[in-house]
Amino acid sequence: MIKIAKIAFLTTVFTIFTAPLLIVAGVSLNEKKRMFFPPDGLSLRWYPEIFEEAKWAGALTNSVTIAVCAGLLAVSIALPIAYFLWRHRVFYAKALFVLGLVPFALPPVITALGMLIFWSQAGYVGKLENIILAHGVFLVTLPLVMISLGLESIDEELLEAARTMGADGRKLFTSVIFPMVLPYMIAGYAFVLVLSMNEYIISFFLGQHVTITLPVQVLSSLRSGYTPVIAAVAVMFILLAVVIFSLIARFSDLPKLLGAWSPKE
Amino acid sequence: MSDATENTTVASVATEDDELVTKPGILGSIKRFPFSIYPTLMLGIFFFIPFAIMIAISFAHRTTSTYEVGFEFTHYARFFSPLFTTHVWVSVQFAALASLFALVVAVPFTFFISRFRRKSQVVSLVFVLCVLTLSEVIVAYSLSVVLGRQSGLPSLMEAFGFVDRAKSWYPSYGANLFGLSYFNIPFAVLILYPACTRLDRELTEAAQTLGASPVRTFFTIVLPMLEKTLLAAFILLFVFTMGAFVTPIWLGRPEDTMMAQLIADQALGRGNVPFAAALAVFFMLVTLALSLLTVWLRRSDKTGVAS
Amino acid sequence: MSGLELQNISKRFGSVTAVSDINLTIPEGRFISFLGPSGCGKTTLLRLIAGLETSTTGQIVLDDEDLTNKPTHERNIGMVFQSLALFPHLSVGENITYSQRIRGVDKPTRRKRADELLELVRLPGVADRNISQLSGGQRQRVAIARALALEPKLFLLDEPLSALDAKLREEMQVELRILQERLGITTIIVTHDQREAMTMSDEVVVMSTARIAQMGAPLDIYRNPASAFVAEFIGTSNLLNAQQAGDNKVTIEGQTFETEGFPDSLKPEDGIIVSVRPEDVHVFPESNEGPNRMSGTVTFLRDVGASVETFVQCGDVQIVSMATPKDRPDVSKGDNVKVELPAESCVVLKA
Repeated sequence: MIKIAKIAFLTTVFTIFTAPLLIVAGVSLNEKKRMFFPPDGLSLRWYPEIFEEAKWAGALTNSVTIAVCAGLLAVSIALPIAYFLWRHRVFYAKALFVLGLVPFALPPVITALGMLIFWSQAGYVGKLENIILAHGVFLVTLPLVMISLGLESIDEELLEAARTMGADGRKLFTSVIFPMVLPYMIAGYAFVLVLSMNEYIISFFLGQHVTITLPVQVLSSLRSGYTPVIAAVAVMFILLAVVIFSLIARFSDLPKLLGAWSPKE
Repeated sequence: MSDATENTTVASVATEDDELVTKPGILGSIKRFPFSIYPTLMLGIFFFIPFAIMIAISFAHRTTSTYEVGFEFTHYARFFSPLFTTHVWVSVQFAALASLFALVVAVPFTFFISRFRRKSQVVSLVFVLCVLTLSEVIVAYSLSVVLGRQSGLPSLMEAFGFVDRAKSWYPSYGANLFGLSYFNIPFAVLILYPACTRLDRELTEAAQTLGASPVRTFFTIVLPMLEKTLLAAFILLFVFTMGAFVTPIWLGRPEDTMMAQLIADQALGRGNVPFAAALAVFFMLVTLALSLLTVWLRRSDKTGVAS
Repeated sequence: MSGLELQNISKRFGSVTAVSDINLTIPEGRFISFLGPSGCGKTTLLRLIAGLETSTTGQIVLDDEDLTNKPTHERNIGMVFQSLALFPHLSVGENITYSQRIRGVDKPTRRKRADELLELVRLPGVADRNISQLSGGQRQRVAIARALALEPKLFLLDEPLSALDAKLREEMQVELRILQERLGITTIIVTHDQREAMTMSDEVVVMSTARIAQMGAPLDIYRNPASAFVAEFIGTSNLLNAQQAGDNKVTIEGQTFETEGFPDSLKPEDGIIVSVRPEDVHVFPESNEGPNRMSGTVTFLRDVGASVETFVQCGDVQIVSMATPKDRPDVSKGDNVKVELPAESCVVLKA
């Protein structure tokens, strides 16, 4: 009885979450420029348009550039903070760490407005690099938390062992610490990548209709009239997330990254 | 568990607060690790300064087209205007209901997946992460497809003859609430997941050997042990929902406008940056206060679950 | 009959067989240990009895009632877990009377029962404390009290003492056994500590790789191990490769020895191992001749005060002898000695 109820509940939840995405995938296959489900005729013709039509291709290039750079930026800020706190345990390091946690805890509209005002004051608006910087800072929390988790999991005795074998501070970092936190850095980078690709409101505020990212383009296309390219883009986003998170799950300890208690076995 | 575990628990709680034995000044700290100057500058320039400017501008004087330096509370005073209070109230309602619905689904869901074998657990987590990170734009659009006239449930209802002519189910209050809850569930799962994995399996088994059915076990053991985590999760979800932007635009009616839209509308639509800044500052303070509350709640919960 | 009966119980997890075709009868009121190394299936067997796992095949019968398909919460058992599994959000008293609360017993009655049970486990007056305020040994007692609150038909313990330090553990073993005798409740304890099993139980079930290796009274098993595995797991033993030499005689290192006798099932072509307990082995100076002796050299002496162990290398085999300080052999490291393996102590096992 209980078991059946449990399975029914889990199935329902999984279905409710998958159904809209599957329907969108179906809609993206429509032959004509309509939004039918089940699709009216089958065609993949809307997918190439993402790369061919200027407004979609431009938005895609922007989004990818922003995501790739913002990821690097976020990790480059997170690594020294996490290392600083882990090695030195001074109050200032803790303060930097907390400061790094704040952006993500705030609703993104606040960051968006703050950055908009900042760049307006500087007289430098609508630039791609503004969005990169904003995403890099806004999403720094994820690699920060993950890299700290990685550093905390390094056994102090390992470092002592390396020291007895003659590793100095620098060698210790390059030969022991860095390789051990690398998986966590990559995971953190991947999280930033996916979230930056999907981020709407900061890109919208800072892009100022000059630099347009994919999510911004999707919403404006939705407003100006429907095209199945939108569904195709949505499917692309879903696939991107599936691929990246599957890779993370494959190459690192996903439950641990998400804060699971290390299992006893 | 044992004396040993008890000691480590005590130790880990102690380290959290007492480990920072050294408090050299900022310069002294940077000297220890000169590389820290880089994150200091990055966060300082691109996070701290923008916020400082925003706070300054929330007190600025608005002119017809832009604003000038000043120190006045006019923008904060506008909080008491009906325009503002109605929408804050609407946002609070949506945020509270959507967070509650999300928790009702997410608590049993997370508890179950935390009991899965490792492999199924990882697959479920990948699934949850995929849904979580999907752009609000994509989720809102997908739901609009489901709720729309041509492709979704309404057309299904028509096909089965429940209604004569299908009508789109959005935009509406219900569609917006559904969208917000949908968007919240994966987030709720990730917030609850660590606490659920910390619930020792032997505790629920012990309850069953003592005669509690699985349902009784869930209500007498699992829920009470998660009490503070649930409260913290509710607050985090509440804050998260308050910042929703695309969902209410796309699935809600004009009267369902929420906080983030209000700020965007003032800043971009009406060019009233100082008022938008004042709204954002207010929003930020409330958020920070609530976040601190959750930090405190989770910390006090951890000792209870771990021992 | 009254008591617990396990009939053909097997449990597979995927391709792994954790418990394989176990048949076992435990009369009412007995204290039984499941003893074995980690991974031998002893915990799985206990969890099957508790209903925390469902068996792949077989039946579990308690007092003529088939429990096999009954969920845990309807089985009326008391169980003490390895982690103790005390509920951190409940006080000591609330923990102990949780089972009564589930059955709708009113508060004053529960309170009275909590005090009684705390009295029983010799921990009076702590009902209102938090679990986190108790020491390890006190928690142990609370867990035991909680499991006994409903006077269950079966009392199950899964390595309950493993978290305690050695001294406290020995005290608790004695106390637990006295408590069980007083209550007369059928009890099963899972342990990997042979000393613990021998201290407490009427009968020991030695398990190895999902099966029962031997069961019987502790001293019987110690004196007459059925296999080399049991001989080595219960206490320590000198296990010597040997050949059959007919007429209850064996050859070890080319020398013939008398034994207590061959097992009935032994066929002439079977390989054999001879097991001799260290306390039965005697060491003499080299000149001292006699039957059942072999020559060797002392390689090491372990003198820990209460006992002396003499390590003797005899050709390719090492033999350990243990003696009390009073009977300590007069030899030192490097001496050539004679080692006596008394015939009545040489247990012949199938290899």
